[in-house]
Amino acid sequence: MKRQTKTVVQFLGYVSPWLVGFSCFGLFPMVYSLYMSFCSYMMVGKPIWIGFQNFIDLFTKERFFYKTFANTFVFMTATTVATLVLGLLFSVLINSIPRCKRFFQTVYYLPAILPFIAGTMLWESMYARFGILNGILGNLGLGPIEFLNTNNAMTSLVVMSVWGGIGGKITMLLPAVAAVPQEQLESMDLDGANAWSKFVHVTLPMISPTLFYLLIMDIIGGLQAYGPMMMLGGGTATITATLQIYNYAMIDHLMGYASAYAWIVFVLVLIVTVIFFKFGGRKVYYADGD
Amino acid sequence: MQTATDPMQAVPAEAEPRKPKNSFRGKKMRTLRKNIAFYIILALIGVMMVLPTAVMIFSSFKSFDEYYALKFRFFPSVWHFDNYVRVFTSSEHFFTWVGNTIVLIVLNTVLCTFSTILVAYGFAKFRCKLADVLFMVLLCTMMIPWAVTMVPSFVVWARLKLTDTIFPLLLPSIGGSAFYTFMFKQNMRGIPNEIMEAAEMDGAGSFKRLWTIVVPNCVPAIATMVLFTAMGIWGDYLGPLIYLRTPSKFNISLGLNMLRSQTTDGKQDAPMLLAASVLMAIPSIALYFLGTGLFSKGISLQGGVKG
Repeated sequence: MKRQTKTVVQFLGYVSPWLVGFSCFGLFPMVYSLYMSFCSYMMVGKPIWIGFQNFIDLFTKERFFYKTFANTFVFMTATTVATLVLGLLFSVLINSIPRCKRFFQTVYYLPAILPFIAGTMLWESMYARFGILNGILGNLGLGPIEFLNTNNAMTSLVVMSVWGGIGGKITMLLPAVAAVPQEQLESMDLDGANAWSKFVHVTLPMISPTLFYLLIMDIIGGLQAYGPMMMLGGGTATITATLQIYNYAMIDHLMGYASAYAWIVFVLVLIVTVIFFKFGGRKVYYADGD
Repeated sequence: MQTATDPMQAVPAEAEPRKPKNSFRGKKMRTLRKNIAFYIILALIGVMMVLPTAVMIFSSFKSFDEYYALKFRFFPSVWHFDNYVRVFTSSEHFFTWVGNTIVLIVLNTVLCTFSTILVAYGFAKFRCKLADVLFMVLLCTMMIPWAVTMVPSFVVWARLKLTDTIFPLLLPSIGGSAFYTFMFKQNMRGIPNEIMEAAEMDGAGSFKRLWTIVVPNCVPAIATMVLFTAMGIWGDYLGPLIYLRTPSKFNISLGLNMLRSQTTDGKQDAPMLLAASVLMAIPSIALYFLGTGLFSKGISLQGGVKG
């Protein structure tokens, strides 16, 4: 056998688990989902082809359609910006202190270690009408606040998610910040550059690949957020697209309708990712010298 | 590496600082003051990060009445350890849930790690056009929204009458994890090809080379994956939520969620739930501390997004 052919055969052999996994649990569901999005299917009988009806219904009749996407965007933007900005700020601070770096990193990561359901129960007890935060407010003589009512729910969920999300950002950003060559920062010192301009002109370009990766992953993840909303509620004030898809699929068993909804989210993810790669990609690769 | 394209960089850094000694001491003082300020900021934020967890821990020792009292106290007036006992007796299924979760952790972690090692090895050491194309596909799979695959997957599992079994929660692991495949591949690339070729000369097949050369060189990365995968499955809630219906088949997260919905006079048994949360967090924290020593060596994203 020719060496090149042998390489390809061996390559296929080793990646075959992924090929099987991707075909069965990635590619096939995607295609099937696209097919179902043009069908009416309620888990009984066969899917009935109805053309674009699901999409037409979604855009014209679905009561909270635009609301779900507005909520998704608000939640995604708030959590992404807050966790990245704070995570970067804390990474720079932790990096510049001489001792206890590991200690602070661990402390800041602690919220991220809590299992999902434990975090949920923790914040549920915080935000409840007779919960801990209202107890503290009561001590201060302040009236109870409904943390999960229409006005406050989104803020409450964002606070909870940011609290849990900062640690993960520091885990990724701190090594990147630490890898910025000290000589470059010092040579700017001699020029009398202040901390901010050092940060903007040296640190930021150097860590931009990591930052960009985190940004993309956050956006993709944020556009699919539904966990906190499902667990803590907030009704229409916090309902997101993916939560609505979950409800339609798992509670109402409107599989075709839910698939169409899901594909709209997918297309949105694609568009946003492409835009970010178009605009962000260039700057990042320059700095990386790639 | 490329230097930053900043005009300030072009200025030659030759200008001697005047009064070198004073300026040195001044700089030292400034650094000290700066450090103290940073420590104070970091400590204050650190307290904010830990506070909710601390409140959770202390509240889990309060009596039901004290928990719901109008006045909030940080520490319990009487320490009620029976909240923790109540966790174990709260449901006849409690130990089954723990057992189910452990089965899920072991099977998933073994399967997923094993697949990821094989796949990453394929991508790292058998370079061809096809590999480059498929690797892009692999990276793109991280972009597929969960909702897109969730709906049809559920339909198929339901038609196969395999919902409420372990299979929908186990078989998807066969493809490995895209993120860790990426990480392992970076690691494996670092192993010099000369060593691989020398072993080949000695008659070691590619599979033997994987286990004798590649895997021993990737132990920190593999251990990181094992620990974090185990941690993820220990806390997994949203996956089992879709597929499991019978309480005796629940994992621990679903079980606790069932307890969460039980109320007396519209009030949850919050101290017990918080005690359960604390108990559930302990294995996660243990795994984290186990993994954290390996973490710094294992994960490096220096290649950036393009890899």
